[in-house]
Amino acid sequence: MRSEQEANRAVERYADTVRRLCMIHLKNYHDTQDIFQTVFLKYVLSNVEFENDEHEKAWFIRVTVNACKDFLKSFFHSRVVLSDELPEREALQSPDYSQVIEAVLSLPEKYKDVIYLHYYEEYTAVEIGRILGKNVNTVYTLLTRAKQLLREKLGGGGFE
Amino acid sequence: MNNRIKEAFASIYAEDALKRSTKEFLFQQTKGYRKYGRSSYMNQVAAACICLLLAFCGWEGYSVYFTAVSTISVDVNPSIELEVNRFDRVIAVQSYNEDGKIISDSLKIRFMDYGEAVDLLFQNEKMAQYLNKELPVIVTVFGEDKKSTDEMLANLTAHTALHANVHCSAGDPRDAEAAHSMGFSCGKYRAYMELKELDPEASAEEIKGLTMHQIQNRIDALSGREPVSDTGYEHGHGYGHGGHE
Repeated sequence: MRSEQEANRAVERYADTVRRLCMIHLKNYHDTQDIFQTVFLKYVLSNVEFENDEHEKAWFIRVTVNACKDFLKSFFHSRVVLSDELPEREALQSPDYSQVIEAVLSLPEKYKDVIYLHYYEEYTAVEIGRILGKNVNTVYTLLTRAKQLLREKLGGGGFE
Repeated sequence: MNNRIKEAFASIYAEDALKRSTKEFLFQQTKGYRKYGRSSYMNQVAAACICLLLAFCGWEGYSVYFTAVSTISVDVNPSIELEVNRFDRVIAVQSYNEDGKIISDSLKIRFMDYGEAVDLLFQNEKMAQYLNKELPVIVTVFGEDKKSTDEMLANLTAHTALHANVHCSAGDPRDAEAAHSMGFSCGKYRAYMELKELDPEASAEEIKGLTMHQIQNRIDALSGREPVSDTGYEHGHGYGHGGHE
């Protein structure tokens, strides 16, 4: 098990990344909090040694994406609707970016991670493939299709 | 547009309250970071005590060592289970289909620490064929002791995090007995039960011959979800149930 110092360092360093990934997949703050805490607990309880910071960051991304997907597919989630759901998008977004965030959130699940990793984290398709465990050609296909969808929703060009 | 998307994501951040509550949560869950940990000195003392105990107890010690307290089920199409004793050592490897038998026969992981054993399993040449195909790999941990199961789950999640499409979770230990009595691995049994909720007509014999990918696709189709993978790749050999293609 890792020390409190290591845990706190990881929370400070990766909290925003984990938070953003939770936001694009989960629909309320309660679920986000559960997955957010679960990811860091897994980190604290694990004994894996990371080769470098990039390796560690890729681990957090991968574990968060898998935790969100597992949660969305879980027996509990598919049958229970919380009565006090707080819409995650309303709780988070600044009005300036609401249109962009809404467009990303409205994408089918399979496009969201590649969009985030490409546009925000600036990973290459090869790196995204490695992190998400997808064939690089699949990543290119997902990115192309996701950009088309965003263009349709947001209008204009300028997508690279 | 690229900048607009980047700036939009940058406007989202983890609130201080969330970070604070998470640090408190971690402190509580680990009982002040002492719950699972022991000093190396204490570990050595514990190991020495166990050796003495085994030496003095003879048959009793043998029984303790060779009693499985946890099971790690790995299902892609190969279905393999590692039985783990209270000392975190793999004491048996069971295969539940032909693909699983091919892999388990080529592994020498008995008496190895379960983390190292899973690392070796995932590095196995034959297993790698499945890991590279974007197929969902389901790792399920079963054990009577929740604390040990949680710790094992966290370790396995960490060990497998950078492998393709690996999903780790904990299962109900009561399911393990039911699974084995029906000839299923634990992970495949869980998938079968999930499918049966949606399709009560699904028979155990039929499902045994399917790959995990095929089962998941049937679940997704019945529940209106997107398929788990868009590769369309299928490959698998059961134990003569005619489900492979």
